[in-house]
Amino acid sequence: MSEKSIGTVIVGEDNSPNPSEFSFVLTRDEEEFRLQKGMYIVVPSEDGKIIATISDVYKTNRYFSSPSAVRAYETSGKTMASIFPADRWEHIIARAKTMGIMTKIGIQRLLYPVSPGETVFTPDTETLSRFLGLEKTDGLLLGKIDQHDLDVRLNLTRLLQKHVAVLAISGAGKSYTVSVILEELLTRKKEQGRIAVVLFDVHGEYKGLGDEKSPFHKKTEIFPGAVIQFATHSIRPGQFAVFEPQITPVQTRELYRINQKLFHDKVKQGEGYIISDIIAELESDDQINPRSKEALIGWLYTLERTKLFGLGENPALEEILEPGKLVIFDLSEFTSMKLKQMIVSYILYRIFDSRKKDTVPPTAIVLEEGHQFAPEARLELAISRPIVETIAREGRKFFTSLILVSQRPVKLSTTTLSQCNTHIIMNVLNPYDLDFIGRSSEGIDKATLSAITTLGVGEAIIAGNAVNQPIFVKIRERKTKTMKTKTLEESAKKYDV
Amino acid sequence: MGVNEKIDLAIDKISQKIKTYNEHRRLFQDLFRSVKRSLNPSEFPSAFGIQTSDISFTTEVSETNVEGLKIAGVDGGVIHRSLNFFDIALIRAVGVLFYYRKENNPIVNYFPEEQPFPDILTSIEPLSQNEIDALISMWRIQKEIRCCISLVEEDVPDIIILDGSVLPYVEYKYISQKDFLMNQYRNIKTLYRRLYTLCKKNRTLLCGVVKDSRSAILTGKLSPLLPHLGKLPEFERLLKIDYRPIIKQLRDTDLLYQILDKNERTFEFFLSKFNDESDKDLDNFDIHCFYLKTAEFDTPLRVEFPILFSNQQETSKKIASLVTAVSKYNPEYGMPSVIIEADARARLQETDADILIDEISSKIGYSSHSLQKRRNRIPFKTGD
Repeated sequence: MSEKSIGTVIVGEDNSPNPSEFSFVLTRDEEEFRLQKGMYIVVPSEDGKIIATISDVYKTNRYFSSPSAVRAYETSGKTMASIFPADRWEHIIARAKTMGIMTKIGIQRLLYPVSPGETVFTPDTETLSRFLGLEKTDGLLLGKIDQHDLDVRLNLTRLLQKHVAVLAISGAGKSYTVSVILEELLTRKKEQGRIAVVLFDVHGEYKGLGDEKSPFHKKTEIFPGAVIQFATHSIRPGQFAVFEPQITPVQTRELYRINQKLFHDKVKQGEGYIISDIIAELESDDQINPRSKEALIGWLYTLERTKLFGLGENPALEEILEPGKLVIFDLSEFTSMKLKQMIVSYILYRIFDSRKKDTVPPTAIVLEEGHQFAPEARLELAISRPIVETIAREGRKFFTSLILVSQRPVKLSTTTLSQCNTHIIMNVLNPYDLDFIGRSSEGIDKATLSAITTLGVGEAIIAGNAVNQPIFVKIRERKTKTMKTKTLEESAKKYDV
Repeated sequence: MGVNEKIDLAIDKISQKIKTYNEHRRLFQDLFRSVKRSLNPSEFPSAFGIQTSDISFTTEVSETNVEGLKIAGVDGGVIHRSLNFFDIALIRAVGVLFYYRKENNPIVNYFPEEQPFPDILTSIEPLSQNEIDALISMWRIQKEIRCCISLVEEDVPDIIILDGSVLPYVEYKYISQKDFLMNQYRNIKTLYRRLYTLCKKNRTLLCGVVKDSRSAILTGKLSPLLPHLGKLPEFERLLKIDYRPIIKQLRDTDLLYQILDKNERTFEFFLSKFNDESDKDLDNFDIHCFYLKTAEFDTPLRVEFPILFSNQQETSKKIASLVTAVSKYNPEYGMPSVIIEADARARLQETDADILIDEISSKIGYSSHSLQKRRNRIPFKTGD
């Protein structure tokens, strides 16, 4: 794509040109060049190239500017076009919002207006990619900027290091977009730098990636929820209190003492222990207040009934997390939110801990239905939130990244969302969610925010750290099959034989 | 008497004047409306210079089909600035030609082009304001007539409609004292003669339409005729009052607005000879005119035309039909579509002249402000 002249800057009625905006008239035929809202344009200046986006496009025609005149002429039974050469008076005017100027020292804010009469160009690929901060080859190919046929390749570090939030209403294409990100992460070559990916699949939507026919079959490992087991000895007393928030700080302290003893007696001897071992130790302990003991044992029994606590960890995270590999924890069979949150909490603690010790590769964690795992709610209903928030705050130092997916951003933990420095936003209609996105997404202005409600399926706005400017992207086609969803009619017929 | 009383008194006087004028106008309108089909202007005594062959005061315009016809319109645009040392004018003229096809929108051609760059004309002659106004007017006329000539030469239309008179209307008293201005005038006459001749040769009808005319050509011709019409019963009542000062107040369009119905015209009548004393040896062209109502709620147009290749009756009939055909669409605005388009293309913006003056100022080292005449440099203006 090379630069070509498309228009001339004109004097607008709204004190433009000014440093923020200007208008121009299209000097090419509409058939020859289709001017579209959202397009990028370039106006050369002495200091560099001024880049702007088209915020509005409209047509003028003097023959149709007076409703009463049009009505009067057309009541004759003839159309305006048959009386006057009205089509020769149609002009296409575009309003453009300046984004900045590309100078020798980088992209700077424009502090002066462009001049009326200046020629407006379409940008070449090189200029546009550089201005938007897109990669040429190594980045993650998420889609295209449709109007410019420009590939959107995002730098891996810029996208993931400071976490990503994928936000949209149900059915707008969140999972599709996540799949595209996963495909890109899995197809990276060794020399490009590969990371491990962990995904918590709450609806079983990503099973297709592990399907035998999937090109990512060998790079994907799926673990059903039923096989997941925690290594009890790796769980700190504070973590028990998170799993069972009614455990008091005093009881946590007692638990800590018991765990220390079991660590000496068992773990140091190469053995593990389970919750019944803790209970047995508690029962034989004389130091603990009897009432506290009774309650604590009660809570531990509750946890034991989840059947998540065992001698060893399954799957062993250090063994399954590999560069360029996707691990899916299929939580679709669980109905208990508490169980799901406990699993997410445990695995996230373990990954983060392992990353600190550098025993697992850099890892991206995909949290589908993020508002379920990091809700802005009471702690007893948000067991996994503390670790999600910890990773959100500190993960970038240890290359543990979050890809948070949610259809209700307003219900997400503010801390978590505010730490997601890149937002991939698809269609959102709820005004509360829109307002929340507007307040929590850096770089999203009013115009972009209002465009969110008009996004079609598969269209997204990417804003934040991964790009220099918010961009509108048409998400690329997936390489793997989408899980076919049944219609309501099909499902109903199955039961109505 | 206080200020308020003075204002009230002035308003009362003005209102009374308007009321009286309206009553007089109504009197004449009712009178002529009642005889518009029975009054035969061809029988008017020749001494009054009507020179018409029409046999009724008004005639219904016959409908015509424009399919296959080429109808052209020409208009000019001018922006003038009087500066300290010189006068500068931006002038352009645009011709548009609509070629009507069956069941299709017309094909439109422009002469010399769709948006021609204006001529930039300057004068450093020491002329009075009236003289400079006459000069600018002559420059514009020259441009328009040249445009007409090239249009006829290139694309032979069936009719050319000019915006304004078909005669070179210039205030003779303002140009007669300066050779420079008289030369311009003679040039114009030559151009007109060339255009008439060319139209005659190509059998192209030529007319000019004058909108919002304030003239009293027709009422001026009717005024001395009224005593001779006293034999008609409708006029008897009129002769009992002193009608002469009343008819002198009436403008043609005021009188005719209520007399003419849509698609109706007055009888055609002699307007002027083209030749004057200075060119009496050259071929002469008689210029005739009629008033034509093309829109129900708009004032009638004055349509002027030279008698070129057929008689005056035939010519006026054809011109009335064609002008009506391209002007009849809007009940509130009866100008021909070709003129509306030509006007839009030829019109110049005030800013075009400002830009030009700024450029000249920067070249000669004056500020554009100092180039302006002192009266345009008043530091405190109303509304500031």
